[in-house]
Amino acid sequence: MTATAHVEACLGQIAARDGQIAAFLHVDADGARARAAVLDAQADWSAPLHGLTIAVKDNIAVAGQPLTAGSRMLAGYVPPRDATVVARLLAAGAVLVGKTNMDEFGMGSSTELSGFGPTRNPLDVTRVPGGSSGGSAAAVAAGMAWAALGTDTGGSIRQPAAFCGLAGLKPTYGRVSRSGVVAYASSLDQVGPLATTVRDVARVYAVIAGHDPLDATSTDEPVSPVTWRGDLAGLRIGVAREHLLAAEGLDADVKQRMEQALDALRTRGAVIVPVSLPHTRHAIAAYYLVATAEASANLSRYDGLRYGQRVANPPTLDALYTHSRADALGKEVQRRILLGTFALSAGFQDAFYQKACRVRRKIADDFAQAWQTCDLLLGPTSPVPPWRLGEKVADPLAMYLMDAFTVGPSLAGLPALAVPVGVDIQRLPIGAQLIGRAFDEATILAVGDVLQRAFDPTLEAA
Amino acid sequence: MAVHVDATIVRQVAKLAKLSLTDAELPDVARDLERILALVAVLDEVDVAGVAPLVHPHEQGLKPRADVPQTGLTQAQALANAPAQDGGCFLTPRVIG
Repeated sequence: MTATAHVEACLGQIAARDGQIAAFLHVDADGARARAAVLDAQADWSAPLHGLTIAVKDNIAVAGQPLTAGSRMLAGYVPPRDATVVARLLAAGAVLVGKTNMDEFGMGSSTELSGFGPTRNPLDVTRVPGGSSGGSAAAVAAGMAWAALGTDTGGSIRQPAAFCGLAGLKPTYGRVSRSGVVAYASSLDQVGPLATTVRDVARVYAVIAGHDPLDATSTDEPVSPVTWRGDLAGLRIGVAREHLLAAEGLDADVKQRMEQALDALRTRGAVIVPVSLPHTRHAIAAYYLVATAEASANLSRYDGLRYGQRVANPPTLDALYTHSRADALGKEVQRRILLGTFALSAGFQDAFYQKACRVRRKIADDFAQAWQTCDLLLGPTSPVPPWRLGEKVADPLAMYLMDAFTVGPSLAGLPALAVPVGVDIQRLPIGAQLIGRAFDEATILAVGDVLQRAFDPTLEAA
Repeated sequence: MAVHVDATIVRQVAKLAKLSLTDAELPDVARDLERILALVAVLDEVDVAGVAPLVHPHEQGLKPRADVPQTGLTQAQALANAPAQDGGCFLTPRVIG
């Protein structure tokens, strides 16, 4: 297929369905068509992503195209440069189709908390697509793009991938450059791909991974190529009791699919090893203190001076700050800024932020202990299948609890992959989560590929 | 650590966070923060005596790039998204009398 035909197919899907789904905040139809024409003329099939369409989450900069990060604060903002990941995609021959909707600044788990309205799940439009990279997941699931970039702070790639029946990878912290990415929580944020198959995720990951001198947190650990496997002989897959047998609030269908996934992996030669992650029940609390503390500092840049919205005729400089921020930032963002500011404030910092960081080390130590007896971990991505729009949006705590299994690997900086493992009784998708050792994306991608094929025999054989 | 969050605490935190909240908003914000702080009180179960805080996954430290001059934004690029500008500068309300 030519790049032009592929782009037209995606634009056709956008025209047909995005009025209802609202996956995109901005579609660059003209730019995508022009680029496809150039790529077709060049016919450089050695480029790893030649002519393939990619949707980009709207907190990642594409030069000359609007960037809002889902916030009215940044309405009208146009970045002057490409993010490093975008530059790498373009150098690899990809075609960017547009910018996708998201919970404001990444703060949400359903994409209902965008300043520009919610995105719907293409597999069931009464349901949420997950979040915060819900627009990216919905775009791929609806055939509007071959793959997408998301960002993941506490589960924001993995959970929407699971909710939309896709694969999605949060790489190891430091593996992928964040230069040109809007900061939420800087010790947690990572960029990663979402796509229909694990192999497509790996293809995008191979392009964006690797050291970038523009991001001081990016590492120069070598990126190992994935060796695709037919069987898993000799591999030890850990199952944390806190993620399955003793998991709180785990949906019965999700639990059953995880047991089937373990059976499938055991059949293919893996050894299943019971392990414990005893601080799982503390991970959400630690995460919401660490993430909001970092967010309160990062989002102080939205001051109404250099970019972003400014209230009209503020009488003083302080009024310019406080009214511009209160006017243009959404309620959940303000709630998290206030919580983070509180957790860092004099008199409370030791009891909250510092305590959370100490528990964070205990959580990282739990994983280190698990690696003594297993090579990777398997469990659910989300405790429940996608919920209905509006079901949890009024109760922030109910939403926070949905991140129970994804925030632990984020706090520990580990790579984790969502893999589709079938549907529930209502035909809603369910995703497993594979968690790997730091910088060992290759293992979770190889196992994820085997797992996805076990549940989807239509994928061509390895 | 359970904390009773009242309007005084919310006003002080909002001042630090540079967010203007109306008096009518204070009770709801106080209630939300108190509920979230009750949730995070689960951390009190964990014995962290002698445990060093993990503030960042890269404990080996960050590596600065080579000290080589790079091209930065031009003045026009830096000002392009400014809400108000004048004479090549960001414009603010009057700060001094």
